Amino acid sequence: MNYTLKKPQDDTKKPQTKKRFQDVNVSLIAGIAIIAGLTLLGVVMTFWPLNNPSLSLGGRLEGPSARFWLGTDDIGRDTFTRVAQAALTGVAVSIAAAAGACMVGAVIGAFTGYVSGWPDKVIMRVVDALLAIPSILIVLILRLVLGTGVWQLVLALAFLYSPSVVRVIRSTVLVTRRSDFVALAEIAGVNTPSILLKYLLPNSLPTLLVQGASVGSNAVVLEAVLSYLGQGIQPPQPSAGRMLYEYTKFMQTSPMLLIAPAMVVFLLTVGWNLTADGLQRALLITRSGVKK
Amino acid sequence: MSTAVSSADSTPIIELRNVSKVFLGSVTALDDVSLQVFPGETVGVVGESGSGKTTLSKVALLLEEPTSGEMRLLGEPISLSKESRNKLRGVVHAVFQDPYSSLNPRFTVRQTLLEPLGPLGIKGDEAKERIMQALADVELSEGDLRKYPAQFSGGQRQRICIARALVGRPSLIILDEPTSSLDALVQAKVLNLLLKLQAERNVAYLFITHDLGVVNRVADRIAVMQHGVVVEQGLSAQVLRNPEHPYTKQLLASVPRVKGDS
Repeated sequence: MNYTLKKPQDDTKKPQTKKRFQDVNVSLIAGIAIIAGLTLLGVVMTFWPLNNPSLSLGGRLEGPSARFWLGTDDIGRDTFTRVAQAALTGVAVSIAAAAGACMVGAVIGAFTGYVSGWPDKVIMRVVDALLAIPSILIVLILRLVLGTGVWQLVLALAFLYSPSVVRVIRSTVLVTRRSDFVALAEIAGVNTPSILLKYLLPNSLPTLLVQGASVGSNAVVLEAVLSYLGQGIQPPQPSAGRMLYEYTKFMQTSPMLLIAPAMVVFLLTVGWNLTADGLQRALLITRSGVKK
Repeated sequence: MSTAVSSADSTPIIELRNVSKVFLGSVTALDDVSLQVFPGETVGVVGESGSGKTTLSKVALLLEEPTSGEMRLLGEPISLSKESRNKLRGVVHAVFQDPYSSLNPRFTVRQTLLEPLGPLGIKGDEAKERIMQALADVELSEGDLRKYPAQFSGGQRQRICIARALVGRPSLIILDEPTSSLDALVQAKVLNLLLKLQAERNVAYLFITHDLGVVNRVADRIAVMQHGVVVEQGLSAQVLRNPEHPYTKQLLASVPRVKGDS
């Protein structure tokens, strides 16, 4: 019997297969597209507004028209421009809050996970306590202490969400620090700051990115809730939550005034959640290897 | 196998004197273990799973603190202190069982090989020269320096681990089951490589394994461990051909043989 020997394949090279539809990370693309789209719209409407959103250029509660695409509010201001600017505010606040929470949470989480002992116990009990208090209460107290500006709001949201990041990063670091490559680095004499910064934190990055996107989603909702309660973004800066509060009374007569800001909150939340899901999938697939 | 034989007048690189390690107050992983590794020799530590072999390597590498006993590095007492760890680096390095978890997935081969050199203060041209030498020793090419661990097979990864252990030019390498996760052919290649490097560099090995075939091939002396106790210790040929302890006899009797093997 004749056998034909197959040429041995080099298994270290990636097989050149055509990308199938199920290989495309739809969640990640859709999530980033929604956030990027709203950001672009907000930037355009901030620097080149359709109509000046601070001025009463139209009649009271006008319906959608060629000039006012989503109509006007109770004092004749353009709803579309205001909603677009509110979307940009939502994106900016959620990105800043997520970045702040991730930076603080990652450093503390990596430190407490690596050092262990009494610093870990003390930090984790504080984290437990912060997670046990209702988030809205913490933010309202912080708003009273810090003030009512946009940056104070970002600080309050970053502070609020950093304990959850600490907890997640700590658990990732606890697993990574037991890896042989960390033990071998310790044997070689690599110092603690280098182990934290070059070994533990980079290997926690996939978890951190997913957690960051999740924080972004929560921050959008909480910012809207706070603005609805009058404790978030302050007028005249447009905010979806504030618009929902102000226009509730026009629900029957001009529903577009409520639907538009509600859609902004909805789309931003969906955008962040899709991004988190997509990141999780993308980073799980590449867990065995690292793409440069 | 090296030709080095321990002698009474040479100082052991590492010495464990009556070392015990008890986990959670009741699990005895090491019980009164005494062991020495002299320059240029290979000491094989054999025993079944759970016999305390890996704990022995962790204690010797100062990753675990012994519950009692004394440890010496080049004749000087060492502990888990920073000073002792500083003394250990550059003298002792290690290769572990799993080549997949032994390499930082986010480091290129170059970064991995630079890892032991930084703490030793070796930089610039000397670092480059040492990396190229280590690469040549383990038969990897210069082009591999830019690659990540995911781009290598298990055997290649283990060779990178050996290169990392060699680059700091230690006197002793602790090899904890370095060939257990490799297939027979790759295992033979790695063993040949280790023997060749020992002949060239006069590096000593503390070779921990459950495989008597491997230990027979590489070790000058053998320590047999059971339930954390070194039950028999001696020259490789003596222990393998004329075992005294019943457990050693049992281990030798359980080695699988290929049909027709004499």
